Amino acid sequence: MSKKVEFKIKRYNPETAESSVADYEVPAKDGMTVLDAVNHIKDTQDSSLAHRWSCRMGICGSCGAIVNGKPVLMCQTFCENTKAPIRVEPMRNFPVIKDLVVDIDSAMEHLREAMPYTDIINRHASLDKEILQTPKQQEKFKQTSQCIKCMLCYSACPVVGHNPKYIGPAAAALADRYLSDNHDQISDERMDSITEKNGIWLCSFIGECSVVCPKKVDPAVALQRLKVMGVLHSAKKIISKRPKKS
Amino acid sequence: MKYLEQKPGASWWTKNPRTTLYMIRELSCVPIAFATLTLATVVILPVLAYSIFNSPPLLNAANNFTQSDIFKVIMIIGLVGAVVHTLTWLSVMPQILPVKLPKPAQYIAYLIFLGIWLGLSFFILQFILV
Repeated sequence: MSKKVEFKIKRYNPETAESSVADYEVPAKDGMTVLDAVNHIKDTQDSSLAHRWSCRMGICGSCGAIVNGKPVLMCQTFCENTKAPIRVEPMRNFPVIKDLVVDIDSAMEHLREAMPYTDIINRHASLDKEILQTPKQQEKFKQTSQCIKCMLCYSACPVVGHNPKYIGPAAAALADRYLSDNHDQISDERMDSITEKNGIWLCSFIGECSVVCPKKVDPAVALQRLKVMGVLHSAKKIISKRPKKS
Repeated sequence: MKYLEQKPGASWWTKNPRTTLYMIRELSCVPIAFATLTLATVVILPVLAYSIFNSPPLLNAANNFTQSDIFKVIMIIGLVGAVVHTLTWLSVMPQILPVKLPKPAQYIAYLIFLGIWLGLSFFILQFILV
């Protein structure tokens, strides 16, 4: 008889607004991830269990959850490395739609505030000419480009939990990515957007966003860099508004 | 259909050793502020009062307090806190410069910042010892 892994999965029924913890047992297999186990439960034991997943290889960022208290991608978390009983909960700081499915719309809207585009087509004077980018220039935003928008950083950030209006770590990392791009044409507008009332200033550098990031994007450091740039940007705005002596 | 709202409770920072450490880091500003206020109250204000009103009793009382063990303990706690905060701030500084530095340059920048801080501290210490 094969070994079984015990699971405790947090359930939420939106029709009755009741939450509970359901116990399951899954036959252990070598290299089995938590996502494999949750899929197994849904396929063979409880088809009403709701969870999101897609690629199974840490690319799509759909299967974020809290496993034994830590925000992780279920597809990157192996059962053999996780202490049983394995407790699976929905991502924190987001409203739960059903079971492990959360509503990440608010965080996705914050990504817009980072203005994640270069606007090179509208702003560049001569598009006929090729705008080159050297590997060295590309290196500057390589790390922050790795973000897969899994929103684990929002789930880990206590500031987001207390103030959902806060722009948040992924949006800041995205802003840093475009500000480091030599193609960028709208750095001033982006800095105006991210330095507003609920912008980067609310970060208190707890650093959990960087700890949980599955792609090592390091949004915490990006946020601190943006704060320095925000101060310089504000000073520049004050100086440029000062009336010139006649 | 009702979504389940998830809000962190008041004890959120006790759930994870790193967030607990973060709260200790933030709370350490209290003893640092206390040490700074103590220093200002028992050293700077009496010296100012003496220089303005020429009143030796206040200066003598302040001088006696600075010799006490409690004053030394407050100052040591304040000094340790200030050194920890300065070192962590200096270690983050090379990573958050608007100009992104490669890793080796970040270490060099850290050493430069460290050198400037130690140099300035030594310079200020000369005035205190005099």
